[in-house]
Amino acid sequence: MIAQQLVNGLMLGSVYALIGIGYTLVFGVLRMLNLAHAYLFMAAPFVALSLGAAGVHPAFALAGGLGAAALLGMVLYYMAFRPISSQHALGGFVTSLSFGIVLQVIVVNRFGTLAKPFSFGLALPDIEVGPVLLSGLQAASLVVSAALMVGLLLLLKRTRFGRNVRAIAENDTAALLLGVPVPRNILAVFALSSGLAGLAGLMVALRFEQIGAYMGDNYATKALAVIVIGGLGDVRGAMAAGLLLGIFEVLFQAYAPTGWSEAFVWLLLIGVFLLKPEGIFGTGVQRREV
Amino acid sequence: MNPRRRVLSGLAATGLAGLPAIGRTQAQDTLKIGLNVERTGGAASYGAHMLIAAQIALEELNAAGGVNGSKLEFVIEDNRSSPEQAVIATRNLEKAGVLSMLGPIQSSQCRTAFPAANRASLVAISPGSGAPGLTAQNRPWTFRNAAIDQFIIDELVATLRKRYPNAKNVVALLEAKDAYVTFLVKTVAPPPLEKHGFTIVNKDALIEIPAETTDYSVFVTRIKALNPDLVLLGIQFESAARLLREAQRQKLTVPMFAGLGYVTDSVADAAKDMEVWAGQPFDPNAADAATQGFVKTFKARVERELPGQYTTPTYIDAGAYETVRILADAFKAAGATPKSNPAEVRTKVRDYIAGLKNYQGLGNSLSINAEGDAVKPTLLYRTGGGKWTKV
Repeated sequence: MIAQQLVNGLMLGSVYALIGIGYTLVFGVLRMLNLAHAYLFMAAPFVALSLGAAGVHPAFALAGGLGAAALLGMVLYYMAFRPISSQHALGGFVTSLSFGIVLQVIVVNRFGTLAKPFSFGLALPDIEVGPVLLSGLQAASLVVSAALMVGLLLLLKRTRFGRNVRAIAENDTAALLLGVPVPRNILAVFALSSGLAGLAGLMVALRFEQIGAYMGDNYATKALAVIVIGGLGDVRGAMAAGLLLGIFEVLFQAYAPTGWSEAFVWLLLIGVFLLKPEGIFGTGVQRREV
Repeated sequence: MNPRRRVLSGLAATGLAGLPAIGRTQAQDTLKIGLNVERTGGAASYGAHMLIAAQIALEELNAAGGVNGSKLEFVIEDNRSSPEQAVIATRNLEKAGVLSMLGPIQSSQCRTAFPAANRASLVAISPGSGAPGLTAQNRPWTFRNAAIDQFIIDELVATLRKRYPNAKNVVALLEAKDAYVTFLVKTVAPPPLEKHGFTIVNKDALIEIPAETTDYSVFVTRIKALNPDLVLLGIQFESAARLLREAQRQKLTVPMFAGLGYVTDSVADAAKDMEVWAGQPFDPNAADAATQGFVKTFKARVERELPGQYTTPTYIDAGAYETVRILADAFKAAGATPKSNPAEVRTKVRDYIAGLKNYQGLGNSLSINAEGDAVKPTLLYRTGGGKWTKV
């Protein structure tokens, strides 16, 4: 059973990682928590579902969901972050949460609170290795998360856009003085981050063939823990923390005394945070003043 | 539900409250029935379906001229599948001047709403609650037109013993925050299981499934490791549908059984060829014209108003439909008009319901017993081939 549970944990962790990577990107740049992230995770499958119901080809419907999440991320930036002073410690926190709640209310009013079937006929076959069974879609989620992590690291380290983003993360005023188009780059980060949230939402929807207006709630707090434990703004850290959280959550659910698994998960997170407050790899973005 | 989620759910529900609701606008010349219903939260699916069933009865009655020359009207309160909110909903309905209250559906909400209704001298009738003793503890104003879990489980376990003479090991799982399923798994099911020679192998380490779970793989792997002959599903039917899909993925195909509220298309679809056993006091395939007419209308309405949801009515929906009609009869017998004193009408309605005998419901003849519960038939069902079959 332990091998299967480890695989179950790895698969769950891959979803946390995918959400966490996008989540941490925005924090790395703005030093503000984007609490709308989990709501964008929820919104993408609903857009895809609507497009599918309107007769759009499944592949395009899913792409539409992804695109809508990215677009909503840009709207989010203009509505909830750009007008807020970066000096206000909790400004973005409140406005992004408000944006997310409005999004959820729209979904509730349009689709109701009941779970909706989400079947696009794209289920990947499961993979059996001896007694261990891997979900095809979750394995794909793991591969996608890893590929995205590598891609994002390359993007941040090797491209002009990446240099700009890192410069903004270190000091946005200095970056602006050096000619970096700060708003445009931040907008791109929001589109990227929100697209990742949408991708995670679509993967979860395809895997479990069901979506609901509250599907992001359970992932929201876990994703927050992932980016803190992983090191705020650290893409590699978010990936590692997501996978570790998934594995430990499943192991506690499988082996901890009944009723205690959730407490153990959060106690573990406190422990990791106390031991490594700067994040798993200790390479979270450091703000520098000039 | 964590505090943040509760706040968000509440805010989202506020959006719902702003929508035009069935019978929301109250007229002064109508007879009002209060609906204390799970429109949002964990039991929202039951609530949405129950509202449609009740609305069908209301429309039929009003189309036939109403009661004593007055139309019937619903005043709807969302209890958000929350015991605390169910009390507030009861108080709001009492203040709104309703002549009686239909709901809540679930025992968890009835546990708090029934005492509140009893204190307010307001007739409350649940179409879904099955936990034993809830009406007996709240006499004389509370009633149930549902079924009692103990009867269903007793008969179900006896039938399972006959069907699986060599089965012994039962693995039980539950959503720990749900008072109804916790009572089912810890109190209702163990005596008959023991009586018929079954053993709950994880009695001291029940598999707890958080209500918000989407990924059931870890739990199915745990169940498999315990090598059960049967699985007792102490989870809501929507969760069960997800668990069943995961069980088939992991090739866990042992028979499973549950209490009330499972005989839905969603569970049958998810079960495919697996055997899931459950019971309810309503047969949607009953041949009588009243049942067939109701089922046909209900299916059409659900397809239109709740696309993608189960369309075959459950015992809750049938109970709600019957109850609205019973209440209309009670109002008629009480001579209720919009100008009547609500307190006097409520007392007459209470006495009418308490004395109800051999009422011709949907495919059954029901009577109210001394504890305030409807005595209805116990019908057992089993899945197979993606549908429920009466055993």
